[in-house]
Amino acid sequence: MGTLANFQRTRGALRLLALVIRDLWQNRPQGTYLIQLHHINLGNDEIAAELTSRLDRPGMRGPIHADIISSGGHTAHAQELDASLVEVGKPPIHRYTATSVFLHSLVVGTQHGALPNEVTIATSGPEIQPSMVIAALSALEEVAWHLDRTATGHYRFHTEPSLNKVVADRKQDITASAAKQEIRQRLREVYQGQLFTPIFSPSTPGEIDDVLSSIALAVIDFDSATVTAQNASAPPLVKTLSERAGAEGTFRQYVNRVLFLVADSGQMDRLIDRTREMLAVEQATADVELFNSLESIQRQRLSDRRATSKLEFRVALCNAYRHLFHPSEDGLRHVPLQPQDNSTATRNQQQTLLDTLRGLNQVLDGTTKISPIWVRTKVWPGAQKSVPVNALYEQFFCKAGLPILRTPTILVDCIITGLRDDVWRGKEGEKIISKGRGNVPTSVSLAGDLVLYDPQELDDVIPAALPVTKLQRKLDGDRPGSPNDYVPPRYSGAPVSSVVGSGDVNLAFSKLLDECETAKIGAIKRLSLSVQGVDSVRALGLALPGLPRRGVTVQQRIEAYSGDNDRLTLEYSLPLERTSALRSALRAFEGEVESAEMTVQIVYDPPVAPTDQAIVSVKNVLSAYSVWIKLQAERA
Amino acid sequence: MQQQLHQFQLAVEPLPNASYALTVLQRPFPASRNGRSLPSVKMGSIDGLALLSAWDIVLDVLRSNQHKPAAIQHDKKKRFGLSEESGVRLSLLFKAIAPLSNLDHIRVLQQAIWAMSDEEAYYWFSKCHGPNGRRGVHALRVLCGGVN
Repeated sequence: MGTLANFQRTRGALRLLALVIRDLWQNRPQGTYLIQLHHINLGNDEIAAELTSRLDRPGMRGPIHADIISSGGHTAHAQELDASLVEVGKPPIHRYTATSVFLHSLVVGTQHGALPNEVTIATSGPEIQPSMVIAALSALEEVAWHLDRTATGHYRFHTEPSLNKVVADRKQDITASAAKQEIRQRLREVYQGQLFTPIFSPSTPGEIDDVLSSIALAVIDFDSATVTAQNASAPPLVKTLSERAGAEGTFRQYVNRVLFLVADSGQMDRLIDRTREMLAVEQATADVELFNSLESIQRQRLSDRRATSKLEFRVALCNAYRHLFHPSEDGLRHVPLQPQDNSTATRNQQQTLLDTLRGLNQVLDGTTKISPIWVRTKVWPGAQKSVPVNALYEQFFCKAGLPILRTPTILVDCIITGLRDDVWRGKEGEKIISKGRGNVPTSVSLAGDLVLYDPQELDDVIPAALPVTKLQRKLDGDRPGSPNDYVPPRYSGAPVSSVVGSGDVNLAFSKLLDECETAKIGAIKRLSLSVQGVDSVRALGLALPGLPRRGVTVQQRIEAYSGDNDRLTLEYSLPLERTSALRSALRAFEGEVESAEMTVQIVYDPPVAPTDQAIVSVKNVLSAYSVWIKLQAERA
Repeated sequence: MQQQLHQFQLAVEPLPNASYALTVLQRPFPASRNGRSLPSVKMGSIDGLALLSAWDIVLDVLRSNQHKPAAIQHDKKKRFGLSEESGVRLSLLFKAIAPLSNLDHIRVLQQAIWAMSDEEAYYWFSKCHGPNGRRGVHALRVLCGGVN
């Protein structure tokens, strides 16, 4: 204080000391074992006047009221920071720290301000550790309007507004509507991408085309509809957009191609605040006059703050848009985006959405494979006996709940596999394509004329019945043309060695019996039961104890994933009696199994008739479970 | 904000030597698969010195989530629901300080994490729990705590 020209060295010091002791005696703050610099109560008007007006520095009242202590209607920044500490009986460390800095700031000359260690020495005590003082300094620096740090590292209060004040003032000038406009513009940047076709702020069904095209991501405007974390059902607007299409509001055909992203109402105030902060900092950075008036360290801080505010805005934006809705069998299913996935601030936020859907098995892309049996049960329109491939492809876009088919070749591969496994047969024009004919193509066009038929609907002969010999050709008239066009006469040549029946349990056995009768199979030596899919495999596993004790072989293959790198693939073929321990162990992975298939082979020695009680008992055991099963019986 | 969901929980797990560990758990989404509920995911766990050092912060978090600190007992398993912000910050803290033995480093990291804005904490949380989580935790220790 001796450096101040207006300070009365003896009388002034005594007067200040008297005021401080009186204030301490009256207030008796906790933990005052020694009168330290921070015990000078700047909230006492007389003391404050002694250190400001009497020193001809009335302007220093501003920093006291704004940043240290205020007895008026508003709360100073240090008091705001202290609120939670004082509540639990801890000392107001931010006010103490700010007071120490303030008193160092009154000094004139090279010692103006205080280094962190000086503030620490001035403020530390039995209840205040040095690390707490340093933390308080950092916190104050973030919010105070008149606190500054010089290039030499000195903290000081001054009458000029600090960067915080400049930003706070500019922030006040930014209206909520300007902030909302900015949010809308940034949304377009953040959710732009090639993975989905973004549609921003749709408000009528006509804005989302009902066409067989790429998957659409409808980003709902936060002023149109929001959801709360507690009640995350789809808002009425989203339901309407999902169900209706076109200007007339007719029913949407391609329901399964529209995803919806909706903002969380509880996060919007925070997002608007972050937006205003970002815009204020950008304005301050763009203000050449202001920028030139700043010291180099302040310029650096402003640049850092610009980067920080941008990142914070980005995270706040993604945190707000955290509710994804995708079509499911029971209506729109809510998927809350997890903070660890949604706050990465990566360039392409669409990738985050895609990864989330992949984690829920809602996307078919890359090298994913789908089983023909799954397509037959889940995708194939139930009542239809035949379906064109393009209609099958369309089903993925029409039927809510099916995974999003991003890579059509997955379906192509599945169709070919289905033809090879005789899950279905194909007809292109007059040409029949089937396993039996051995003319399954290596590629299929989804836009072509190929129609898939249920095997029972498209008569064909199994290849074993087709020994196309020269003699046969002569008998049939030596028909020219490619073998693909050749339709062989039925029931000629060698007897059929095996027959197949597929469908739900009753249907599969009924078909099998019919096929046995048609192929004149009087005795069966081996019966194979095949299922695919986690639920079906579990059901068949439950049925195993009811099967015959001997002659049963179980073949199982499972693939389980529990993370990006944790993968389990297991394949075995064992007699039934040796599988119980293994199957019990596998139950531990049940929740993580992604794909599973199981084949159970029952050998009948001696062979049995298709209508024998041994076959019927297998049917009875299985009929308790609702599974899609493929049966194959081998002729004895 | 997300309090009713209790997506995050703080679990007390008794240890053999009459001490205990605190673990932040996150409920998975979806909560069940094939009809079976999936277990919560461990997002960070501390005991010993790290727990001793972070004790004040843990108590503050419990209070701010309307739990009585006295409810923590060393011999009793218990779970406390946390708001998303608390869960994110606490799991970030646990991840960062769990393996450290230098008390100064632990304190510096604690202060840095607690001084972060919510958005900054979420950002680091995603970096520390993503596919490159280990690198994220290392970066956090270096940038915020000066720990190599």
